[in-house]
Amino acid sequence: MRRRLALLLALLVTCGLLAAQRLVPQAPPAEPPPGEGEPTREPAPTPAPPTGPLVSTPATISVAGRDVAGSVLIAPSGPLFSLPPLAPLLGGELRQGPGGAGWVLRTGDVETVLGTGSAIATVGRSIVQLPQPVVGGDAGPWVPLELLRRSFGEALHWEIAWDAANRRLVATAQERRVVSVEWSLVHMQGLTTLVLQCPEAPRINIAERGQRVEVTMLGDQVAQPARPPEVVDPLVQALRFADDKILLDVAPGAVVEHYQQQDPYRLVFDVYQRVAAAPGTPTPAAPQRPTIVIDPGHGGVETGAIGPAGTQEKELTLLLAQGLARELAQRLPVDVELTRDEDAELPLDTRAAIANQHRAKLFISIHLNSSVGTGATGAETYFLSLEASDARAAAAARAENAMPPAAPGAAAEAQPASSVAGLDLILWDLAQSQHLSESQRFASLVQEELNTALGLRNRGVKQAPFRVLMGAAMPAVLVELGFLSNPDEEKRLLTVEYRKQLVDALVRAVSRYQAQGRPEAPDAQAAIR
Amino acid sequence: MSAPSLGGERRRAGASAVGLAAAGVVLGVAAFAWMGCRGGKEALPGATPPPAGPTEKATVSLLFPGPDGFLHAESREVELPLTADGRVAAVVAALLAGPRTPGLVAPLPAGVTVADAFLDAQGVAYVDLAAKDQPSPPASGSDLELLRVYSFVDSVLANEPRARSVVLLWNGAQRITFAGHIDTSAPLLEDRKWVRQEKAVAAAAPAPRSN
Repeated sequence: MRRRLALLLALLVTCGLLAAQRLVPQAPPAEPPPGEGEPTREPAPTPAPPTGPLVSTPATISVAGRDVAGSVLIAPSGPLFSLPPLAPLLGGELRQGPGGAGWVLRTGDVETVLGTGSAIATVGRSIVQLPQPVVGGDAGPWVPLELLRRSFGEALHWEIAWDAANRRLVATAQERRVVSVEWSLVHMQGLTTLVLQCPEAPRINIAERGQRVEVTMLGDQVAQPARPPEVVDPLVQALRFADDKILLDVAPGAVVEHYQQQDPYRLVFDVYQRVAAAPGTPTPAAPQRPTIVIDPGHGGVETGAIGPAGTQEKELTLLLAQGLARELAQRLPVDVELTRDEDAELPLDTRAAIANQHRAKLFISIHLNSSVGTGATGAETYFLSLEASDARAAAAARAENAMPPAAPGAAAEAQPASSVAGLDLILWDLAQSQHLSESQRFASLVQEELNTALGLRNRGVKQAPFRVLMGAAMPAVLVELGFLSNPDEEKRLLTVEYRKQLVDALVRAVSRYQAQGRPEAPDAQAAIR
Repeated sequence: MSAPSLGGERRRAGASAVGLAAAGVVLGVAAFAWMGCRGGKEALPGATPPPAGPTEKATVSLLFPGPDGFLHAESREVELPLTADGRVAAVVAALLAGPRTPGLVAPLPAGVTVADAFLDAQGVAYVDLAAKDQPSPPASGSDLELLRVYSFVDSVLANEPRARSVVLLWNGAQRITFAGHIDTSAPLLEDRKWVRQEKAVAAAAPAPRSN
């Protein structure tokens, strides 16, 4: 993100040099030195900057009914407003960009990046085309009305209007919304994760004050949650919802990190102690029976693939997962948990989190496939590819270098990174990286069983960057049990008998996997009842 | 799930020979007139308008999903913008416009456009796909999603030498997954295992569109 910011600022400043020369309030800049390298982005087809000298004229700025004197530049494409005096009045913060290039306007949690002479700005993650370029001045940038609306309006809930006849800029606070928030808190392996979920993304500001984290709804109000925030946690001491704030009190010395996710909107806090727990700290006893977590793919509004006859993937994955859970529990000495047991939407990271919470020894995500046309048929089993992104691959390599090599078949029992690598926590995106070889081994067994038992076309074991597998801190696979896009397979999948065959194949794969992981087991099939 | 763009195939199957001939004449006349307007040079089709700036003639290799579960290369000689951003946008627009090779399909259904394309200094290409009234990409099984994502990723990386990885956005936002399976929260590298290893099919002559 920082490199994009620096890049964008460089670009905006570069393409703004010419326009800056034409400004009255500004001294003429020097010619750019020749051969300074290719600009990283060509100027977009933007509106032409003002061609003549611009003169500022007095104007009134009215913020929430209070009038202050200001000024405006009347350009051919519309008025331009000086940002430095406006920013504090509207609750924003303006600063120069890295190295003095361009400006960064912070409005709540949103950063707007702009540069002189450029009609392109980034507002949060959006690239915004402005109706006219930003103009530079001695005190700071002059910006068009559209930028005020996109930054202050959307982020801080101001309604902003320009009354040209009276030269009056009017900002009125939008009506306060009442934002409902659901919360969940999980503590695992020295890490407490607090998730605040809202129906839509609120505008917020997050401030850390000592042991307290304050989340302020900008222009909105927080509804009291349906479940009282009674917290019993070693790292989070209190959680409170009050007026426009959510307050989080953490234990002394605790480190708090936060990030946001969309669809649905979630604000996530990770709380941990920077220093690892002292030796001898009691830990919960490991369960006697291994837990296997079965994940029925999709759910709720996320239907997944839809077959030619209208069969929805989410319905069949639930049926298959419920059948598999039942058979595993009856036939193997394991406990089984489902990530969902009804038609409900469930975020992908939550699915892996459920498996982590249960300290599962295996995570199986059940899916049905679709492809181009109707001819594709057969099953395939995936395990995670971290090579799809060099950022993840590099981080995984670093994590791997920090880990001692695991004995074959022992990864399911691997120690958490916290105790072997001096790390405080396992990064979510890398949780699966410690288990790839075991995931591959299990995937091969699943594929073998599906091929031999059912005579399906062997589509093989594959690797792909599937999000649902990333956070799983145990061997994990995603199995595609057939193509819903194929009318014949869709018909077969709708029969109880065929689904039973698929489930039996998966049970055998789990049994063989467990048996292979216990060298003392005399017969790989003995565990099956 | 939105059906892949197979309209061209269905049309071909159902059309009569007379209809095809008539369509061919109309297409031929239209293509002749259009190319005449462009000074005899062929421009990339696509949802975005033709590049306004200077261009150069270049051969691009576009990867389209096929019914065998792989991407297939289709090469064309086209006029490409000189800027990296323009080249990335043009390649994506051409993918969205669809293949000329029978049996292949466009990676996404009609109605999806290139809202923006941007190459940063580290070689990360940002491709913003947009579709009105579609808050998320069409749902599908994982194989189709893989083909869709890597159609864009591998095509952009094959045709823009400065690009090292690709970020796909939808309606201006980067998503955790593209459509429920593939993690798109980090830039994606080229992955040729989704590409059928064969000689690229030259598709110089305009052919019926698949959607």
